[in-house]
Amino acid sequence: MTTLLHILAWIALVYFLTVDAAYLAMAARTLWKARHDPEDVLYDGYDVLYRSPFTPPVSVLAVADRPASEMLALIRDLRVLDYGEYEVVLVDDGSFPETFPALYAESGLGAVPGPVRRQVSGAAVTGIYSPPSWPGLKVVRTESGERTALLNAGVNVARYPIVCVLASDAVLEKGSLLRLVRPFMDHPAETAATAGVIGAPAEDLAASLAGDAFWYRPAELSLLAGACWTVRRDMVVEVGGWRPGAADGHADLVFRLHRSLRWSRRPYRVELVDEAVVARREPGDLRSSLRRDGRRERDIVAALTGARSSTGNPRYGVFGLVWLPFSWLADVVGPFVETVGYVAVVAGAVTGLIEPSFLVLFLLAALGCRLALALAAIALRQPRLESAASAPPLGPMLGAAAVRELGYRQLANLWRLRPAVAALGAGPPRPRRAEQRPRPGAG
Amino acid sequence: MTGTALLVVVLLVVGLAVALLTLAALIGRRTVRGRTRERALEPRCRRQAEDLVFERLVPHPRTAAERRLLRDMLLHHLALLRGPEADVIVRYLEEAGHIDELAEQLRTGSADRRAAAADRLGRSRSSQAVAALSAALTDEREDVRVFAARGLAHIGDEAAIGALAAALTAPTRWALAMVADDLVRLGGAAVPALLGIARRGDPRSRAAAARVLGEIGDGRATDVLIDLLRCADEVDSRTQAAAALGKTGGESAADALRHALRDPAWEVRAQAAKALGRLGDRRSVRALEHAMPDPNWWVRVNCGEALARLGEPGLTALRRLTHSNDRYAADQAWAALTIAQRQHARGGPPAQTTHARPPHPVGDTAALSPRTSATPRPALP
Repeated sequence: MTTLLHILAWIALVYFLTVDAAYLAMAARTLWKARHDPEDVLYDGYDVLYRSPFTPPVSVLAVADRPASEMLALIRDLRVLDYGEYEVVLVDDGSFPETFPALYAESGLGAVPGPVRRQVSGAAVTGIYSPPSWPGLKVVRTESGERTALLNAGVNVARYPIVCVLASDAVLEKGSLLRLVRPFMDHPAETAATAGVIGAPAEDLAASLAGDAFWYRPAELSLLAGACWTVRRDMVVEVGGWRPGAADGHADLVFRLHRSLRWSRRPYRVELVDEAVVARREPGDLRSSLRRDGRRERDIVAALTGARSSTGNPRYGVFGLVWLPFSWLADVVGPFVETVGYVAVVAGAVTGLIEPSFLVLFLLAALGCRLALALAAIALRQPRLESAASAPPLGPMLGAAAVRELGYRQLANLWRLRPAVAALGAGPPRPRRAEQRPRPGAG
Repeated sequence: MTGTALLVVVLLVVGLAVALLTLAALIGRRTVRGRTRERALEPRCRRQAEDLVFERLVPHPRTAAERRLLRDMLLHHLALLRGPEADVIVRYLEEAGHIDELAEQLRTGSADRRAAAADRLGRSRSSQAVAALSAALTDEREDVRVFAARGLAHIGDEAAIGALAAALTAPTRWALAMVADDLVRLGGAAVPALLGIARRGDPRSRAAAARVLGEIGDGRATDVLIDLLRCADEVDSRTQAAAALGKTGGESAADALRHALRDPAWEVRAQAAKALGRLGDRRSVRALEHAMPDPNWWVRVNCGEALARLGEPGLTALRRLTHSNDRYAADQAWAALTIAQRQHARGGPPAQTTHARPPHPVGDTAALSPRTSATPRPALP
């Protein structure tokens, strides 16, 4: 029994030290980038970009997966978006039957005839509706389907070269869409996708800023942390769109984007734009946060199992050799090892089978280091966010980060075990025909 | 031994994390302190700026931070003011040595500082800044060059047009948007320089110049754009030329665009169709009708929309196309026709249309089509 406890505790300790060392290296890199004097901040030209015909048009894509009142609020917010040329594609599969009548009553929707490019396989479109006063809004009615199939239907209808995927309870802060699109203008040939962060309430922003997937990780995986992201439409089409079998399918799509681009040896960039802030319309409670983490875990595990052949494969460069194995370690192995490690060490300490000195070292490595990293992330980022968004004050955010690291994380690990096991058992998402055979002439 | 090694490793990792936290806190604190200081100084600086503009009272900032904030505040006011009030600010900035300081920063600062200095010098509208800004036109950093060129344009210097046009050489889209904003504002004065680039520039700058020429919409550009459309090897230049011709107009432009409907690149065909719709030349109906059964979706969409804009002859062509053997063209024609009819119904007397039934059965035709799926066709009004 003693030996078993010791082995488990040692495995957990080695895991913590390895992951912490990796986070430290990445954090040091971010810190180096952030060292410049804030007085050097340049005129960003967003007032010019807002009215410029050279700013690429964007299709904002959302799924009507919440009650009608919330969808109406979303549409009202999007109507006054501070962006030049954009359209809003709202996909409604009737899961909330009152949504479409409410939209109809509010804006007087009329049917828009016309063929739809079926470039990715998605839910069958039964009609497209648009109000005469705002032709930029397209309400796409589809047959019921998974969220991923609805997103694909939206991509098929979307007209513009950049698609902004927005959660239906999200509100884009002022100027956020321009900030998300800016990398596409700075590096038009390379930028494949960008993501924004969740900015409110304090707990969400703390989770965004101090979370595993944010600043410790390089851009390769940063999209996973985004509440809202923009992606080149042609790249979504190239990889066959979202695949069913995962909760949101975002992780799967991100991984496949990387794989496709790496495989074809094209230079590309994905960026996390931390000045692009998305607020949630209603603050989530503990249960909804845990549920979101569970969904994200299922999403990532499914995506990782789908990317097995790329893991450790030198053909995929740093992504295959470093980031995929690291994701396996941190996202798949992590919840199991951390949970078992805590149980083993606490049990050993209570029964006296583990020395107090080991317990102290374990807690330092498991909690102290993570806490320091989380607080560092907040201390560094929060002041910069203040000017760009209505970010909460530093104090509550530091408190939220501390609570997150010393309590919530351990609870979330428990919560993540079941979806992780389920996703491992289910295997990779199903491939789609659209991926195997691109459709000619859909331009 | 193992215990000691473990202790060392854990302490090392934790120590590094704490060091990182300290550094991050220091950087964060610097930002917070800067902002707090700025907020504290703001009311006093605003008062001084207003006194200068309205009472002609020369400000006397007490600290370097206050001086910087006052300068930025005045630059901000300057963007909104014209006439004697603006002159007072420009004179103050010159006499207080701000222009010299910024010029020095533009010469010797780090890349970010240089760009910021070029931006501020440009917004100062001071003729004393011209020499420094002209020298910065050859800076290694693109944003410094762009800010310098924009600055010269704001000051109204003659070198600005050439500099702005030169900034179109291999630009990012951000730089293009910035530069184009000024070039479009300069209007006809910028056209000769842009025509020079469209004739002799490298492929990327030719495409950019064509685009800006289109935004300016000056008829003098038509011949050069037609040459570009006919002779350029690169698709992007031809595409931008086609789009620009739709804005500059002219009879010869319509001829060239009709010819471009047969271009091997779909991007060019799509833009040509769109441009023909914009020109509104009814002689293009036949060419658009022939071009509509195109393998590319965007070409079909633009042809349909263009025909719908060409009045009754275009609508008649669309009606014919609904019976086309090419079902994709027929679908698109049907959609364009329906939308056009609705617009007519909303905005004026309804178009006289009598439709035959839809050429294909109503329903989702996705299974039949490798290229498109159709939404169910609603009954025609």
